[in-house]
Amino acid sequence: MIIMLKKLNKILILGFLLIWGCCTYASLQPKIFSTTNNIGIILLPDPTTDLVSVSMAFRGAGSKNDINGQEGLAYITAQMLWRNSSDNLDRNQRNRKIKELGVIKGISFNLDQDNLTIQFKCPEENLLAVMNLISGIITNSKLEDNELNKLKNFNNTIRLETASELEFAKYALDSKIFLGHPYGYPYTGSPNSIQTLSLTNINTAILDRLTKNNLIISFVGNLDYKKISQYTDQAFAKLPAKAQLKATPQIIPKLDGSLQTVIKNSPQSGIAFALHAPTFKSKDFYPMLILNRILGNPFTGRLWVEVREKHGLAYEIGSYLEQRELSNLLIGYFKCDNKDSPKTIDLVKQEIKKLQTNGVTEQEVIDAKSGAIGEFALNFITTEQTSEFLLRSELLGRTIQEINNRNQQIHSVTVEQINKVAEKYLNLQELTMVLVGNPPQ
Amino acid sequence: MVNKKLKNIFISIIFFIIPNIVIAKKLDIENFKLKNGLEVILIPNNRAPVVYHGLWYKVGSADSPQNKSGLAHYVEHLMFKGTFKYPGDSFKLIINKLGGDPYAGTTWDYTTYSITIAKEFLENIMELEADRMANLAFSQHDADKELQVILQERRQRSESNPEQLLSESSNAAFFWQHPYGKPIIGFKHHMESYTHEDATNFYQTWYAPNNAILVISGDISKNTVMPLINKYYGAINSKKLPNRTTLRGVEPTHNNCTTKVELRDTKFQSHYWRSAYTAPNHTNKNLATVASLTLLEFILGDDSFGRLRKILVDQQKIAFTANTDYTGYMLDPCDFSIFVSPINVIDTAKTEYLVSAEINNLITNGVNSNELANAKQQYLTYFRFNHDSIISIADFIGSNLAYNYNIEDIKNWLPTLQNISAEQINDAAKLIFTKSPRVVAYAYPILEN
Repeated sequence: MIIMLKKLNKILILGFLLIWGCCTYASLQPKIFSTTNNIGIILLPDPTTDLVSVSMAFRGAGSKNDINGQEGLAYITAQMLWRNSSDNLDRNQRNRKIKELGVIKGISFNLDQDNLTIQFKCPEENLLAVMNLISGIITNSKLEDNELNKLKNFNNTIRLETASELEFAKYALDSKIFLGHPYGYPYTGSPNSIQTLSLTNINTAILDRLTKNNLIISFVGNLDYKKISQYTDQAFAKLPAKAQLKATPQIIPKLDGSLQTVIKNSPQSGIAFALHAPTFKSKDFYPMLILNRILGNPFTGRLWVEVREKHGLAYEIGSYLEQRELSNLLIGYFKCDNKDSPKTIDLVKQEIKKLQTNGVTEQEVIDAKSGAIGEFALNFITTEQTSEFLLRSELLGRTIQEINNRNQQIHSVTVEQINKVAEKYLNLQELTMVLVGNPPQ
Repeated sequence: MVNKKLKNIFISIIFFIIPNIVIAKKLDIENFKLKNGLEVILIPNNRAPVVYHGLWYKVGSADSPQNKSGLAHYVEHLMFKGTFKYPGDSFKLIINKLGGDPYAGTTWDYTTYSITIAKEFLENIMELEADRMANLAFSQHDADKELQVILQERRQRSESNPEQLLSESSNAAFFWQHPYGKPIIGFKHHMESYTHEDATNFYQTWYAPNNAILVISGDISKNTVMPLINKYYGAINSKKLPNRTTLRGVEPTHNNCTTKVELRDTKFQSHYWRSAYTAPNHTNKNLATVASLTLLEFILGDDSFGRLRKILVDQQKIAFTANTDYTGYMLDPCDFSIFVSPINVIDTAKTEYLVSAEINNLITNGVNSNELANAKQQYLTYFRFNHDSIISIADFIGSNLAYNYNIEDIKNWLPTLQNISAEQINDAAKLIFTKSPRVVAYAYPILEN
């Protein structure tokens, strides 16, 4: 019966591709344009809702801009904006105002190495007021020394010590493979680097990094082009015109096939590993996407089945493709008892080697393609997801046509293409691992 | 398990025109019942080519047999362990291969299973869900393995989680007889005693179409979905169901006695204080009382505007947080609780004093019209947000029906809430607060050595 179902799925997948065209988000057709003030807009009109989801990014304003000795500046700047008063409202008054404007999930500021992003969802009638409030936080904050000192006194190393073994392992992996590059530093900086920061540094960072020409905003809601252009230019009129961003050097992550151990007194070991992966623009990308699903997907992936189901060595195990502006990697992760870590690492290596040497089966490819195609629609269940997806795609340089062709591209991936990609990328000599825990000697 | 706090926020409903907020035009809900008793709700929304398929079984942890607390949750896990037709892990594997997103949860009052998936696969998952409604067949090996999984879950969620420990201890003190006093996941010694037969009997007793609600939302139309529902669910026989009220029993009166619960543990990161009062729900009071208490929850305990926050956090600066939780959305009467996390141990006594003074102030002077208008506005905003997704709207309707609200109650909820007066809130406050709290619980962090 299961086999019959699988055969049925092959037919259904084709149907899926054809029927994608009859919904509101049919093929995604957002309008992409710049306002008079040179602010980038992605607008997906959605007449089914009277709420607006907004995802905005200051492109390139992430922690990679922090110069040597001032690591953590982007992070402290974002924290200061959020903690200090703006437009004569202290933080508590501002939070109440945000709620009064119907932003019930709040406004989130997120920072990574590449970008500063801001997300919110609000009733359509309050959109301009919320945008004005955010603009006020950026351009009209009263930054105070005592708040900066509080942030300096907060010891960020505590965050790392209390992080899970897996979080810690991923951080340590980045430090190892991006050594000397901004991607190798935590965006929070170090206790020493944070002590050097002043209000002048923060004010300069705001003026240099949060500007009109690196601002991109993705809107999903019942909105039109004219209204959005007008709101955006009006709300963000006071931002400086042009960003002064640091040129970040290109980097090829150093994957030397080594295993680094960081001793931490915990009952379990967390292990993160990295392999090279192709960029989105590469012809290898979609075969790699399917290969990764065969390797690291929950329930069905080879790592899950072999390590968790057959040997019971790990509860969490999997892999994913990590895309950043300057790097593309396949990242794997698992957690196991300290005593089992050598055996588990061996098993993971064996599975990767087997895939590289023997390739994938036709059935695995059918199942993985079906799953990858099916799950894509789940990116668009809510308007928040959709606006965030569109912004992320823009930041990674994906065109709308590429997004809309995604399922067709997956559909046409062959076993041979996947096997070639497996041979090229699943190279044990490059498999670089970091273990955080207390493994046997 | 469903987050209790969230669940309370998401209570309300549909199909009305709220001033300036047009919700009705977007909601086109159909409800009907199959001959075998299955209640069906369809909510079309074609924003994305996705469907949400949710089933609520009117059986929860509070229906677990005596000395087998948490059995409902164990059965929830075993529902993923195969049928005669799809044995073992087939269910999970097929969903994964179709790119679906499954979810399951157990509360005291219901157990829910849902899958969000590309619309083309609706029939596939309907076949699987209908199959496990009637034909669950897990092996002894899988039952044993899953028992270890839920024991591990208990270790992670309850035994290592100080807030959960406080909740477990104070609930046990709050209910002298009613099964709400037992943890949803079960007591460890009860869990260790579960057998294959216990789980099978429980499943066979409660899992039936006439004890379930099916909600399908998303890119569907009645014409295409109804034949599938009839084909897969229509063929399942109904069952004679036990009387839940008799099985659960009635909570005795507590002679106005207050039980104090105190926990000291190295696991606590900060201080916690809870004061829990007996509160009515819709099964023993009218809808207006429940709506009044829902608004009172905002007025007293909202994170930004609540009176307790203003006094304890903003003015006195003796607490990190101060809020309230009203669990009127339960099958049986439950509690109205005040939660505060005092900054220091000496602040706990001051907290208790100030909360008591504010309650006296509330009873004496009532609420003002500005507070009431703000609470209604905030509530309506939550309402709008939670109806903007095919998942949250389906979850809202499914869970309300599982709490034995009917469609009329659901229709009347928002107008009732909008018409609540300050006097009604004052009456509801007196109903709750003129009696002593049933439980006052304290949690103190202590140092390792």
